[in-house]
Amino acid sequence: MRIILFILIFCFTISCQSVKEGLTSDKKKNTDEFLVEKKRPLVIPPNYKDLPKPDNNNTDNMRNVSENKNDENEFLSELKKSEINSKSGNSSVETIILKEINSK
Amino acid sequence: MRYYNNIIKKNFLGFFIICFVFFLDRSSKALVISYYDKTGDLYLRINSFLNLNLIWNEGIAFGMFSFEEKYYYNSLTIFIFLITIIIFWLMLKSTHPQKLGYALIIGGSFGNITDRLYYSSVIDFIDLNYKGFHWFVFNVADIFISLGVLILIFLEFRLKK
Repeated sequence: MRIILFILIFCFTISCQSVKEGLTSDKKKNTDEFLVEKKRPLVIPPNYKDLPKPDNNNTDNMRNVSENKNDENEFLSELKKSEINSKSGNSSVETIILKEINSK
Repeated sequence: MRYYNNIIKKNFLGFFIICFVFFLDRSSKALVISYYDKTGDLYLRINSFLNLNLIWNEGIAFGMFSFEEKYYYNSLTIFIFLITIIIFWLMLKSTHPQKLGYALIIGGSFGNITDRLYYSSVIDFIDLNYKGFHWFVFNVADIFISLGVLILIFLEFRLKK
């Protein structure tokens, strides 16, 4: 009975560790960083009904698209003009583009 | 007062052994830590059987009960401290040859408890190996604890006979 007590005392007071455990303990601690999170179930957000209606946004977007298209057309017309000018020997396309960039 | 003086007189050798083991353990660990602070790593090959390899043990014997959570670790430290107090009480009650065994265990145990309180883990650095087989890495306190337990077991068998 006393021998069991001595062995228990030995187990609790002593502090030894295997080399492998000692060297890998730091890695064990960091495993949470690489833990892949499981897929959560899809849930409707609580303010789902408060979201703006899609029509309002669409009209704004359409306006933006039309404005962008106008810009593109203007740039293309400028480019054509510059090409014509370059053919006539006034200036190169590159200088026109550079001027455009610098002006913006 | 006379009662306490009597206890000190009776257990003087025991107290001396406790202090001797404790300071031997602390000084060995202080040397290892100072070397570790200088180099940033400790792996010294003394000979083909012995290496010095610093390992922080957060559990008890053989790396068991290695807790990451502070609460469990502190509970374990308190439990080990209580066990050490019980061993101390057993030393006071025991006869002379047994006192030696108990004193060796107490000195080593206090050395390891100091590590637990100061570093939150115990410093192990003695790595015995033979042909690639490594024994558990231990420290000076563990040597004295093992010696104390072996003395107590030996005396127990002798008393039975």
